[in-house]
Amino acid sequence: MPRLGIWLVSACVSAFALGLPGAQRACATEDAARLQNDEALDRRARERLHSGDFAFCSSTNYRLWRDDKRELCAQKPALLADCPGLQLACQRPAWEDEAPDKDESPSWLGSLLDKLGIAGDVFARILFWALLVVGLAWLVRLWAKRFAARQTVSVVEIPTSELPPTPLSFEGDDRSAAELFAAARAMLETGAIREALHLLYRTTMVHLAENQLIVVHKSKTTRDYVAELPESVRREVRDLALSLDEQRFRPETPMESAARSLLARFSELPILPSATSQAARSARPLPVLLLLLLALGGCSDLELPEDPVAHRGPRGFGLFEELVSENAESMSKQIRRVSSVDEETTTVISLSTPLVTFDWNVLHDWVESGGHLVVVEPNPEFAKVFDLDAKSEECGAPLLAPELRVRSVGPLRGFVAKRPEGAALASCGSKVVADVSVYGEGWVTRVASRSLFENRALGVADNASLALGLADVDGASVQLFGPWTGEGAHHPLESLRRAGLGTWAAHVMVLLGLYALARGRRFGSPQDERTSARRAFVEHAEALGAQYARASASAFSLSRYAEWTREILRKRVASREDTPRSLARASTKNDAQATELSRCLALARTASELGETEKQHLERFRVLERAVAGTRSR
Amino acid sequence: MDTAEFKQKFDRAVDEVASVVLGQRDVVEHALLAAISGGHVLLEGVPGLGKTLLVRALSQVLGCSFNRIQFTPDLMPSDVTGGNVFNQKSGDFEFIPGPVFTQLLLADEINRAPAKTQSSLLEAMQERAVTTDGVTRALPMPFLVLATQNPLESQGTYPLPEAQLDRFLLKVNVAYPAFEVEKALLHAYVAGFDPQVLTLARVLSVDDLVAMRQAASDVAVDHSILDYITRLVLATRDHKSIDVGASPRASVGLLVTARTQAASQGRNFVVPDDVKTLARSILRHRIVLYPDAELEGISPDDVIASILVETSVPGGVA
Repeated sequence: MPRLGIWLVSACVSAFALGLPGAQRACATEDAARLQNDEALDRRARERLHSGDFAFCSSTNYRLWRDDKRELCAQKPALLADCPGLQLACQRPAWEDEAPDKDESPSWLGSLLDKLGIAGDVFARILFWALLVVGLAWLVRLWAKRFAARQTVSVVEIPTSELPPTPLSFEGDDRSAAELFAAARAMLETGAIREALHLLYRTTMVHLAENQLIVVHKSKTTRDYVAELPESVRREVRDLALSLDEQRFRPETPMESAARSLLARFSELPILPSATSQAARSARPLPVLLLLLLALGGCSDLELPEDPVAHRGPRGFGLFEELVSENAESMSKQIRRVSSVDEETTTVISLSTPLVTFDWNVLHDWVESGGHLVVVEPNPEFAKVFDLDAKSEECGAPLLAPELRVRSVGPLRGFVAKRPEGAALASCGSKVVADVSVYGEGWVTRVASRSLFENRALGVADNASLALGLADVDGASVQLFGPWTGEGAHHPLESLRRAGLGTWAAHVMVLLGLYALARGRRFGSPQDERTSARRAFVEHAEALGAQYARASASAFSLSRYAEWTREILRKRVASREDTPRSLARASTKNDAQATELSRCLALARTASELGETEKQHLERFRVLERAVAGTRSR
Repeated sequence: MDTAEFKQKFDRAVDEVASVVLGQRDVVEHALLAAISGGHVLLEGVPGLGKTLLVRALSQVLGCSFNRIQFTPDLMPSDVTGGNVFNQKSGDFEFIPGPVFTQLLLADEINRAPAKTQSSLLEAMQERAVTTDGVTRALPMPFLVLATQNPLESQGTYPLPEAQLDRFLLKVNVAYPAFEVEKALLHAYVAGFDPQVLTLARVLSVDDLVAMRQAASDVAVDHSILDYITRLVLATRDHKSIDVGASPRASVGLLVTARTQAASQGRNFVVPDDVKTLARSILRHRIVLYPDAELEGISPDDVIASILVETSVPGGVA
């Protein structure tokens, strides 16, 4: 323990115990040294409290719970002077008393729902979940469609052979339908009618693809495209495409008039103009996206009021945590169950932590080896393990601490019984609120009241100096235990859920998914196709086995296995004869097994002629397998 | 005969056969296309799907003579082709024609007979003639073999050799009928339908068949279509899953059948759809897959599908 204060307290406690003269006066001085008034610290605590991070002090919309309101609003002007939010909150009804005022819901949806009352609240919640479900369903549908579309194009790689280019091939031509149509008209004007018709066919299909009615592919024919079309346009498009096919592939040169007629028919197709249609289709996800966003923004006011014991709530420990972090050499929070204390830790502060016997045992060993434990509102398990009284009761007298001007905010508690070996650090009337005592090679500081460390208390008078003095964190490596200890999430999703972000995260995921689909492949970076790895031997064996199973060839495989077994046994047992009987005798331990194996070896070779069932074949397999396994060590 | 008349007769014949062979219109069309194109058909499907009924119905509609051979492991070549038998009265050998001497031959479960017997059909199918004891005898015209084989039973069967498979113009897979079709079939039986007593109208004559074959041979084929056919067949020889690709006989078969198909649609020119529609039936029995591909469960149809996907159609959209 490098810190001087602790050594002084230790010396003081020893002097008391030995009844040395002048101990009381000397120790009063040493206690005062630990609980020094640090005006800068108190000022910093107040500034932090009023900075805006602590909503109960700064937010103009904050509403208090009934107990907090009673306790906080009675602090005039100590706490309220610099807390405009708290002043306003004191004028509003508590959460339990009546519904929020209309002007407390700043969003348009909140205002609207206020007008609608409970029905509006229910409506908003239904809307929230319905949109989430609809979004998810839509996402699944889109993905399923894409997957199905991908499946329809079977990919079996064909080595490219050196062939001349395909005649009438348009590969690599990525012109739009409008450009192709213009090109077809221009081609027709030049007299190249068949080429113009090929272009018009391509125009038609690209136009349909732009309207997401079909997916074009180099291998698709008119029949394939027509099959993809919806009923509403199938007939007219099919007639046009078949007419184009007729003109394109007929032996006679197409008539110019027929080509012009086909151009006109294309123009009259009952499909939206591509640009409009495409924009409309690509914008299809937008309404849902907007609704989801509105729901996200609008529902933000529907959350429950802040928990008073939340980290930065009136009764939270957020400010104390910040002050410890600033003054200590290092600070860490214990999230998991207590199985050990970090090696570099010099001080453990337990803020009203519901630890169990096992945890206290760990801390007990650690304190005995020289650690400093500050335990706030100790529980009965602590009393049992440390053999220190932990009973406390409410105290109506003012809070007193040497050299400090302190004031309690909220209920103050004091220990029922005084400890003769303990040095009191703070008291109320005749009760000790905090004391410190030597324990093994370490020290234990008991504090009966958690309210000394709460956010609402630290901004008042010299309370911050008192809290930091009790914790004695100057230059210490602190490990902070609190209500959070032993309640760590096991996985990230649980963390999200605990933070109340589960549904919001789901909404965001759905939004991202829809956005990705709306953007198409450009959303993600392109990746190479996965190449199939070399197959393992076992996969070949399984495939071959499956082939045999399909062909009902169990008799054949049994006969092959019997041959193999015979060969293996002959090698392993080194029998002179290789008749089934002699092999079986040499391979097994008793006559019954030998007879069975001999029979199996003899019959399995001719299994296909016996007309036995697959089950019988399997039994013979097992017998042979056992025989092989039984001779493995030879 | 012009293509309009061709289409009319073709449709009538198909309608007539399809009136008793319910739910198998595609199969009927393929069989008739083969008959007009002068090719033989291999029908593959489980027993009981109406393959024999189809052939009998087709023989009535075409007005052809009909014989059936049930292929069994002990069937001898002479049981198919016939042979010389000593006539005690005349004191001389006399040729007794086998069931192959017919216009429409149903070779039922052809893969149940050993290769020796199967090969007795080789000459008949390709040369339309049978040679016994050095004497070649022509078969009646038209001569059409419709063979069936069962895909499930691999034991006790003898797979057809590639040479024989190549003789079949089309291999058609006969599938189970859909619910509605099967129900309609039962309704027909309730109404008194007897498959043993077929009374179908004779829609086509032998002369009609000859005229239709001539009309089909007049159907125009664009050079881009020929290019497409060539690419498809060449792709089967380059494919990584195929050990033995399709022969030039496949190219010719695809061309001839595509022409007949175009005529059956009332066109005097072939479009890519005609080729693509028939590619599976023409190619599936003419390719031999590598054992690796078979072990991976890839079927010839899968490979042909991939070839069709990879091959650009003429005038298509990339």
